[in-house]
Amino acid sequence: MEDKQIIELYWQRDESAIRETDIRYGAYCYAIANNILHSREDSEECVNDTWMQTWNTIPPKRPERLQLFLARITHNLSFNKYKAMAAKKRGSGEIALVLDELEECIAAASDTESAFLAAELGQEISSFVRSLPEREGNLFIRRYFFTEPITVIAKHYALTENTVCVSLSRTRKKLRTHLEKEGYFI
Amino acid sequence: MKKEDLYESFQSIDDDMLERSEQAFRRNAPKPWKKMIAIAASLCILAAGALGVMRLSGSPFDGTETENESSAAAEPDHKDEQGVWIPQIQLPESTDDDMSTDMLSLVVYQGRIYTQTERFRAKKKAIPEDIIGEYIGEAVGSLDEWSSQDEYATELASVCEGSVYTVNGYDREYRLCIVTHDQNENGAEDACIHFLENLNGITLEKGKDLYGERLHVKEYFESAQYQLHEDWDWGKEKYHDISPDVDMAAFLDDLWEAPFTDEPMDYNNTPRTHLYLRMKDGTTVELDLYADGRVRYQHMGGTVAVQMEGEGFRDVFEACTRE
Repeated sequence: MEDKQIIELYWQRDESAIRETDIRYGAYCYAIANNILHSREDSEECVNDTWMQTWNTIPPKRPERLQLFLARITHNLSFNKYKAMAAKKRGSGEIALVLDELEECIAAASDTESAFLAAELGQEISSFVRSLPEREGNLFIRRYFFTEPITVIAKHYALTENTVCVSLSRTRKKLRTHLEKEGYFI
Repeated sequence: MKKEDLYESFQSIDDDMLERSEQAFRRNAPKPWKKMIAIAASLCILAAGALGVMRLSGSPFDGTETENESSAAAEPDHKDEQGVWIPQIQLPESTDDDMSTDMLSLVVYQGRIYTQTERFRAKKKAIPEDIIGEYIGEAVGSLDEWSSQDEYATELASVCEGSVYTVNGYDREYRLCIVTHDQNENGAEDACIHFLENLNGITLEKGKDLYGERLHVKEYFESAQYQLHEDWDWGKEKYHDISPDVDMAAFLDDLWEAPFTDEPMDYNNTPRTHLYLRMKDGTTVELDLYADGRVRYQHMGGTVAVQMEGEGFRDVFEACTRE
């Protein structure tokens, strides 16, 4: 079933919408959740929560790209769950590596008075990624939005893992410089 | 600012950029998409002999029906047949906003649609003569994921190329291959064989219909390895030799007689593992083994699998889940 038909089912409040979403995007959303949570049980729970949130959001929403709409919900839910778990113990898996890598983009003393609005930072990141060459931007998105392992990214882009690592490292440095210039670090 | 804040801010990346990365991710997957599509276009022509034979509009084939095109020209009613009928792939009318772009790794030859399965790297430039058979044709095309239906039938207007062969030891009605030369990590070129299999427009009743008649597993079987699902999921190429205590012959006997099913299955909640049957000709048959007894050929779409029962399956499944 195509996206438009699935969205129509949500609008008609037809519960088969959830089943159809699961058939079409279950594995996709599971992969996103599992990249963050690295736990089958937690990932499955997040995927189920994603269906629930989608059910509660459509209507009134009518997403243009259902796949990305679901990706964002899964990502949010999974990261919230990760944070709740990390409050109790240090997280593991790909997300821990991704967060450590991102730490390089942040000034050491920036924890104290970093006056910024999350929405503004989001806009900044979005325009930064847009300014990158296409391949570099794509690699950055795969790693820091989809939280994909380096091996998976390398395989899909027909690159060596080393090439991917070098590209990401250069882009992180660029991001740090960019954020400094924009006054995000006091 | 904390690293978590920065990570969360990536949520604000605009849809068009996420979409771009998704498309590139699929496009750049380790499958020669463009070459395949190009071949699809040109083999249509090779096979049909004239453009008039196929129109590719809505239904994959239309027009004059030859012996080989009978399955493609119209979908017959298969309700009364024994086994599972796997309908022929419908070539997409438009790939906008459609996951079916992934289906485009295909070749059309003599009315059958072959989709890409395994890739075999020769680790040398010379084409492995023992595997490839008769040369069918040279394919050149210019189609990509966004090509319209009309473009599928455009004769050899293209940028990509690939040589198409039959595969020694396999029926050409089931398996073909294309040979490309890909750069290895040292910058040298290796011959790569991309297998293409006709896994649609067919009826499968028992395991032997696929693993026997088509893949000749008993005939070519040499050894078995497995990969834990977690390693598979994370792309870790960590394979284990299966214990010599496991009776693979008994497993294959059971596999032969096991019935095909396409009943819905819960992929996420059924434990599974991955069994690799290494063949004497250097190819591999990859099977997904589910705890409920289902065995799925890795390249088979949907939920089509054989349903196994008994000790033979349980022994293998258990052996393939040992860490």
